[in-house]
Amino acid sequence: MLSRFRLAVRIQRFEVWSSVLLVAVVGITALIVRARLDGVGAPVECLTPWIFPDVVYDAARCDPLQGAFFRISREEAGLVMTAMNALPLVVGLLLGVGLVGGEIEGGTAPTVWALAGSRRRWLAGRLIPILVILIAVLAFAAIASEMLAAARVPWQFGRPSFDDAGLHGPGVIARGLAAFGLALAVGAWSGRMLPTILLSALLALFLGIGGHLLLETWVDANAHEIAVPSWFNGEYDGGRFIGQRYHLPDGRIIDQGSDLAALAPSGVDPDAWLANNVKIVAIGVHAPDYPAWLMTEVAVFGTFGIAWLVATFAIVERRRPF
Amino acid sequence: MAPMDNTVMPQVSSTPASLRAQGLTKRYGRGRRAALDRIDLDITTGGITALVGPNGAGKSTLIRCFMGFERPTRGFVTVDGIDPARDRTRALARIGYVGQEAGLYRQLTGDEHLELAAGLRPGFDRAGAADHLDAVGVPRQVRTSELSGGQQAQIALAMALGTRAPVLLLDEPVARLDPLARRDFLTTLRDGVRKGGSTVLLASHIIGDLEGVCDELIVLAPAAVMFHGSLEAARTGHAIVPATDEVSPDDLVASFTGLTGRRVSLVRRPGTGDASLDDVVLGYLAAANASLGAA
Repeated sequence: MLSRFRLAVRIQRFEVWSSVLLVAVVGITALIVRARLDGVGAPVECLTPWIFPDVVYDAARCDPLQGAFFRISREEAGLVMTAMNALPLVVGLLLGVGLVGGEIEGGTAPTVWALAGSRRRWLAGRLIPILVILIAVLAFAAIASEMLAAARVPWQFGRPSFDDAGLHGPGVIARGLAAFGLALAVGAWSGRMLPTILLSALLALFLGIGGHLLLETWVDANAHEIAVPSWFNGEYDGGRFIGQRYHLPDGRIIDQGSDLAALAPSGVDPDAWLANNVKIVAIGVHAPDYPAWLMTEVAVFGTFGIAWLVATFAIVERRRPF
Repeated sequence: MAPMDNTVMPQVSSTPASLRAQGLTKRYGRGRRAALDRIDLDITTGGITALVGPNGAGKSTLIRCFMGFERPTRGFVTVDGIDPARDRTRALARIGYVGQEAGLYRQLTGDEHLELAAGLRPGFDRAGAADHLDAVGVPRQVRTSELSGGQQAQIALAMALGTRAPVLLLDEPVARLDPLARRDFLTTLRDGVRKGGSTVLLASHIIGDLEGVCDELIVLAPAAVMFHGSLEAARTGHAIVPATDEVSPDDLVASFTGLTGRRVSLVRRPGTGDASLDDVVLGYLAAANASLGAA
């Protein structure tokens, strides 16, 4: 087993080391930026004074700390999080593209498929070590990004938050798995590296866009009435605020563009009815909804990746080795 | 030889053969010319059979059908009684293979290739394969990208021999090698096969290399088997005469321009002929061209 692991790494040496290097650079940078954020030593009451109405804001002390904290968070942590957006997709592509496609283009597939007899066994033997490496390196990226994400919102005190959603934690691994499965299947299907790289990159781009759309769709689908504190400033307490709606007396929540006058019972002054019965409420998801989103994210991308892995077995079983 | 499996093998004869093709037709895409057209072949156990023919004759296609890499359009092939189109895994378990390209990983050493083969093929004789590489002087600790084409071919052959498979399929493995490397490869193959007793099908279009190595000869013209017999029968069963000589149509194989540049005829003369192997192959290929032209 160790021998096959070592040989699998040797065969994809360039891809494996490139992935490790990429993740190390981004992950270690994330940890450094986190340390820099912590190093500012800005107390939470300096960063978000509005959630501490009882504390007097000491501008002389807090302004420089707040400025330094938010500059690092915006410029440095923002850059790392942008990289984290692409990292799992790039690593997934790097490791997946050549695993089968490279064997076919490189002319080694006939040799190893003839030796192994069972292509399923061969693919499993090639796949498992690379999959372990993929998960291990992305786990590091996931942890580093999680630590950075938490450091960017110290006023959450470690509670879940929708800030930087999709860019940290287990979702990073799931996205990497999805890109890996996709590249693997495209490589097995085309048997050529360049078309595989181009097509997989394009599909991975859609995958990245799909991730953002998934979050928006999920938030829309799960949006509910949320309490907006008096200090509301658009960054709703780690949740996601998507707008305001009318709350009707029967419990229905409707768009603000709706014709409310038509809803008033007949014979009643609509304006008076509206003033007394209809509330304007905020709609969105609470920070405590984040674990549910995380599960959805991991399930969707994980299932997507696994489906492509399964498809690759079927493709390899059927195709010619050249 | 492994016992025949009646559940997977279409029974056509009571005599088992290591490699058999019956009515084998392979067509790539609709309306295209058949790469193989109703081929019947029986290659019996043991020895090296040369599969000779020009480019496009279907040599690689035939080998790929035996390996289950190509699915016959019609007919079937069997490897030790197993139809690879139905049970590729079992068929491949009886095959060692070397392709035209050595099919090696540039970044791995010879030793690592043997390690890889041992992981993939149960019962792989890693020590025997390593001994083979040592015997032919191929350094085992050097990456294959740094080895010559001949040395790479020797590694591929060592991997095939190490399988101890009853059947070896070699798809023009010496086509890209220089004469010395070709000689070394074929000598190693002959010695290895004599020790192991495998049945070998060696595709080649370099006829001069085959004498002293092969036991049987198959001349495959585009899509059809033109000759199948022992090398001895090929030589002693045919003669070359001037094309102007009067020859019975039953004895005439074909008239063609010989290696000397003169028009000659290849005729069948069982037991008394003295044709060279080149003459026999050229004669049968000329016959194939003539029949294609007539068609």
